[in-house]
Amino acid sequence: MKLRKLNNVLHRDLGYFFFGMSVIYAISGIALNHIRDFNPNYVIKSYTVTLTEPVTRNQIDKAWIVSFLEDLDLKKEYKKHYFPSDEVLKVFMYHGNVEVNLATGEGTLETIKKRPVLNQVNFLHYNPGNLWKWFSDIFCVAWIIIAISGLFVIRSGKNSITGWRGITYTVIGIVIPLILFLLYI
Amino acid sequence: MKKLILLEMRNLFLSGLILVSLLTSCTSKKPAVEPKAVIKVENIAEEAPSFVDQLVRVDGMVDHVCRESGKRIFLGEQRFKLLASNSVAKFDVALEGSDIEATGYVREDRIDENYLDEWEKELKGSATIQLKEEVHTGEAEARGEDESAVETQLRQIRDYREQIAAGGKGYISFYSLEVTKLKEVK
Repeated sequence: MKLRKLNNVLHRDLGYFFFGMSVIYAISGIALNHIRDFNPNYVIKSYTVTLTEPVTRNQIDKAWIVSFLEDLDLKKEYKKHYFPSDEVLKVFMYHGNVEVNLATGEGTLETIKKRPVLNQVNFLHYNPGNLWKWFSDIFCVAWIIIAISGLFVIRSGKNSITGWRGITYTVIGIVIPLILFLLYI
Repeated sequence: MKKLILLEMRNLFLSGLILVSLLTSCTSKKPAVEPKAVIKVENIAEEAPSFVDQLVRVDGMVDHVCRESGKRIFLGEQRFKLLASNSVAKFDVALEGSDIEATGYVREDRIDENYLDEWEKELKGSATIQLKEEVHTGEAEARGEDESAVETQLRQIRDYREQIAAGGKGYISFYSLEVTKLKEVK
């Protein structure tokens, strides 16, 4: 097989094979880039809650909390509770938590739901285990091959790596991250 | 044409076989190492100094999981810190309120005056800055404060200076567990 044909076959087949992985890493890459702007893993909402009647620590048991949660439209959400201090009740739910100050009757309800797609791709991006580690290493090596072989797919002419388009785009693509690197150091 | 498709399929099958064998050979299981001790989170403050860099199991209820990175758990009312590792990359927020058995290596971070001086220098000129892992105790967050705020961190530095002065050792230690295995009990 000629070298160029091998190059193109590698570029094509690795591209097909690692299409899924490329999308996973690209989506999670955007999400992780913006981790300071929004939480890519969970949709978290906070609400202020107020007790309708004063209650003491001794009056609180599981039944009271279940009823309290039902009043907040949170049926079957009770998981566990404890008192971080004499005046504070913390309730764990299956999708969030509630913390109430018994002295003031004021508290905060936090509901947490997994963000569809982003949560799952981020989970993979964070390397959940050895099998994933090796498979994603193979993917990264394959991406180097895809990138290099991509330069040589077109044999000659203005669109090839020796033509003006190939050279210009390749050089710009290297220079931009270099400039950014120099700006940040 | 049919022959060509069969040939392609055979090549695909062989490539798949090579990939699977590569993956399985790279991930061959190492013999399990047993933890040196099983410690309830209620006793971790007293026990941790004796097990630095050793494998132990810590049992307790998950009080908080870091919302942003998922790389940190605070266990029990003591808010003992568990950290993700190469083996356990991330913790699920759904673990909050669950009892867990966390196996891993006890790590110690010593904070002295030099550390605090450097930290204070880094804070100059910023309004918010990401809190360093060694001193990420979750206390400020539990009080509802912004732990990235410079003002919060400066207060933390002042508190630590007082603790170092009172302790007489010249430093204070923070212990955490680098988790290699985690089991949800209920």
